[in-house]
Amino acid sequence: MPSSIPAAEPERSPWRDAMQRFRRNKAAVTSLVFLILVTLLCVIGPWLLTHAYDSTDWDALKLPPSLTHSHWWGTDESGRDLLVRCLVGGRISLMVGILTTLTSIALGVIWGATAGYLGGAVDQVMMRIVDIMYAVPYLLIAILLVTVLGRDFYLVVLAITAFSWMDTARLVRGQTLSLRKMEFVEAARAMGVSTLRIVFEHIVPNLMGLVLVYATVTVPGVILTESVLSFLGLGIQEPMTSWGVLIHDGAQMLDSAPWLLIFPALMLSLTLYSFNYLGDGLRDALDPKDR
Amino acid sequence: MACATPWTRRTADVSTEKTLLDVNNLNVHFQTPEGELQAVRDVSFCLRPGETLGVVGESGSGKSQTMLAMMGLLANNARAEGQVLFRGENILNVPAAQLNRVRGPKLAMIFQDPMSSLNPFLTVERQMTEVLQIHQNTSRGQARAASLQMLEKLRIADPLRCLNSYPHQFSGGMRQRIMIAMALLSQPDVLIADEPTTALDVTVQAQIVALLRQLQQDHGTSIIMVTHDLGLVAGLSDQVMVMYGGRVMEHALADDIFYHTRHPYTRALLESVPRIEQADDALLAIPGMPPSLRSMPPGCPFAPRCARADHNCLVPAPLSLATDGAAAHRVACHHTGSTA
Amino acid sequence: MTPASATSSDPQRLLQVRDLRVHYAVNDSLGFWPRTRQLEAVKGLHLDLYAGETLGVVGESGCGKSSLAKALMGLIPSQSSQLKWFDQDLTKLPIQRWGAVRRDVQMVFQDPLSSLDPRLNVLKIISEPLRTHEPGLSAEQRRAAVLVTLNQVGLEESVLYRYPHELSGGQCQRIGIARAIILRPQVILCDEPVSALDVSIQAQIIQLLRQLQREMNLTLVFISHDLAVVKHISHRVMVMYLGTMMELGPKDTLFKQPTHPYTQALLDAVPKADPRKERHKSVPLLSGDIPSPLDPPSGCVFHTRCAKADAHCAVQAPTLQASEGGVFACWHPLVSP
Repeated sequence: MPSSIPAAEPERSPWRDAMQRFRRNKAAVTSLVFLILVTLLCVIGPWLLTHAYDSTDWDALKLPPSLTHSHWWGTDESGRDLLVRCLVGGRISLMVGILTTLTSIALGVIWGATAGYLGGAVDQVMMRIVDIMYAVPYLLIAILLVTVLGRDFYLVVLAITAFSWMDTARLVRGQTLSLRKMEFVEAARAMGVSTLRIVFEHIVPNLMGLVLVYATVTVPGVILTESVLSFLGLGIQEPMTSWGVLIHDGAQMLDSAPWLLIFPALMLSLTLYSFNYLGDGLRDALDPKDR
Repeated sequence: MACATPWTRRTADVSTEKTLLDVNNLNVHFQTPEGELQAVRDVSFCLRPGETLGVVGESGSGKSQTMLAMMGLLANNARAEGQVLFRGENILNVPAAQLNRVRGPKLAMIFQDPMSSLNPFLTVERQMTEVLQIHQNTSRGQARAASLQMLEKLRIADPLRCLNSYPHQFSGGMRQRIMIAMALLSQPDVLIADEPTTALDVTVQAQIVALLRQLQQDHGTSIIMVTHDLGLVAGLSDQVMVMYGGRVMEHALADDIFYHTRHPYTRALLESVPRIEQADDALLAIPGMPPSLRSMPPGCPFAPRCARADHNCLVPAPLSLATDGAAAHRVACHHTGSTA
Repeated sequence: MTPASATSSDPQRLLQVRDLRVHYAVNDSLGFWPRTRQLEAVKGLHLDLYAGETLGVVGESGCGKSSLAKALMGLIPSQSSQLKWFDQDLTKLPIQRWGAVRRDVQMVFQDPLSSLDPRLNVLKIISEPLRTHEPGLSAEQRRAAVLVTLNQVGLEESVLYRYPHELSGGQCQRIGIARAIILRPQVILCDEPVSALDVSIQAQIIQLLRQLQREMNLTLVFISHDLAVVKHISHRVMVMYLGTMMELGPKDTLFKQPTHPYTQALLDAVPKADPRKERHKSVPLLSGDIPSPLDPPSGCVFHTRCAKADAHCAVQAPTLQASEGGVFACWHPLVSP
């Protein structure tokens, strides 16, 4: 006998359900909006402002912030406009953050899913490599790499990626282990689906929710690492700047020109907070227990 | 309110006619993001000392929520209305201090999954003696002795070793027996068993059922057995209440429910569940599926699946005595008439 | 030894298993000391499956029925002296090479919701076997095939783009069955297919399976702990206990006059929906709990709980003997062969 469902309900994929729950979380939505705003400002802002990030304004050295003159956020000791430098620095920090996160997540997912699904000796070897990577003092290696090979943007991305993928790998492996035992994976095996297809069609899609949450939380960590490197003088080269560089320079001028530290630090912290709230919101939205 | 069902006792014990538990018009509502849902609608019944009530229903029938409401164990977003009288005293929506005098010592409950009711970090002894020490102020030594005695009474092998062990070291059947032992320590008047044997093997289930029957004979404990298994209530119950979609569909003596079934749902249930004693292989499947709380049909919840439904069923039938005046057989159906 | 077939013309033997053994390594560490013990889930089972029949496999926890199903499907490794599907000896073949079996032997799982990938819609779930085994089909052809199976299992086209969590348990189980039949297999192994469903829905699924068996000439292996359900759907029934077969025989004989004491104990323990009979029931109940499969009793695994056991039963495991239409393993059968 035919069994039908009430026709009125619209199609509800798990993603749509999650988006609905996400929209109800005010803090998360606000964070998302803020992040989009910051990104837009950093990308488009410098085109719209009158000052270039590397042009010196000899008439306005170490000018405090004020809306009366054209340097709204003040200038540094070389007469460069802080606002524009913050936005340009934001470009770099965000780019490093997102690019590094993407590569480290990609590497971590492939590593973890393979180790978790294949299990046995392969799993043991792969996870021991992860353990070894954890044991390596990453900052020292990053410093070494940068000192020897120079301060190139892509090198910074590589250096940070090399030490951020392990967390994802571990997380993904754990999830894979529990997913592997689920009946729908067993059903796929019983059907004769190949291992590769099971991993990519069943395991990875069911991980993506968690990975997405993890990614939003990794970005702040990466930006912070980049800032640390820049703070140590090993990040982006002059005159290009990032928030880390700005904070480094600003800290040195704390007595005489505190705004040089406050504005970039504020931008960095607000951005990091937003990523964290976003991550929390996504995690709550994707939590299957709410269904 | 006087009890609607006449009382039959199967043992020789004589006890007072006074009702132990009186539930009147119990309703349970849940606040959800989709609005307010009603899980239990107008449930009334009563229980006398030494009597067993079987509550039968599927998922969504509201049987478990009814019990949780009585014990004051509903979730935070749930609200119960109505009256639950224990020995004449209302225990519904009363402050915790007052409820705890009844809940536990007089009104005990055991659940389906003993593993989640037992603390995996404490020994069995700790968990059992804790009950007595808190509720009855007994000393540790006395509580231990009482626990040991209870385990022996339940014919648990090697009770001393049992006391010193942790829950995870036992099988499902053993854990359930330990749960029963814990529940019976303070000699409650009523034991509510919510699907106690669903997770157990059939041979172990038979042992637990025999155990409950024995305990009832020895202590005169009243039992409320909540289950989806009609066979389980057949041998154990004096009265049987069948629930569906949050309402009571039929409520009568056990014999009447099985031999003089009046409600189409009960009849359909009896005919659709494979029974081992049936000679032929005919199974009459009930079309459709149990209603979800979110899309409860107006009127009788069983109407969409009922062969006898008509336009009258848009208004739910009240639970009333069967038309031919049969002793205390309540049915909620417009089309009742003996279907036995 | 072969169980007698029920029909006069010998039906085709689809499966032949001799001495099937399934082991699991169980981590039984004490503190820091690592220790793995072997759990024998299935101990030396012999089985034949004939075309067109429904073989019911019944037993309590630890009896190994699920392990048996997975071993027969090749989902878990097993050892045997013979494991022939469709006369092809797969004993020596590693599981990855069981390809042919994957088309003709399908499985239906216990939990309808977790046996379906929550991220895929119904169309993708049911068409997965087609995408795996018939890659040449176009999307349109796949969709058409899926619609045909949906109709067969009694679902409407409207569920095609829905997701498992939007559907009820019964509907999800129908989808699991649709997925199993889309390749037109010869055999379907059902592992507790109705145990997770509401009682009023169980009959629907049981009837569906019987109907499909008639329409598609399927052979079913129906695994369940519920004797009543097994009785309704099976032609022959096998009773298992702690990895060993206790009795195998035609349904009617087994339920009316069981040979093995364990079968009798199971039948006695099932509560019947008949108050008068139940109240006056005074059957001997099995004592004790089911022993742990990690530490099975010696000799006949059932002897620790059997009323008829004697010293001999504790020492030597019973050999298989023929009964009327079946086999059993007991030194003290209830019915002399």
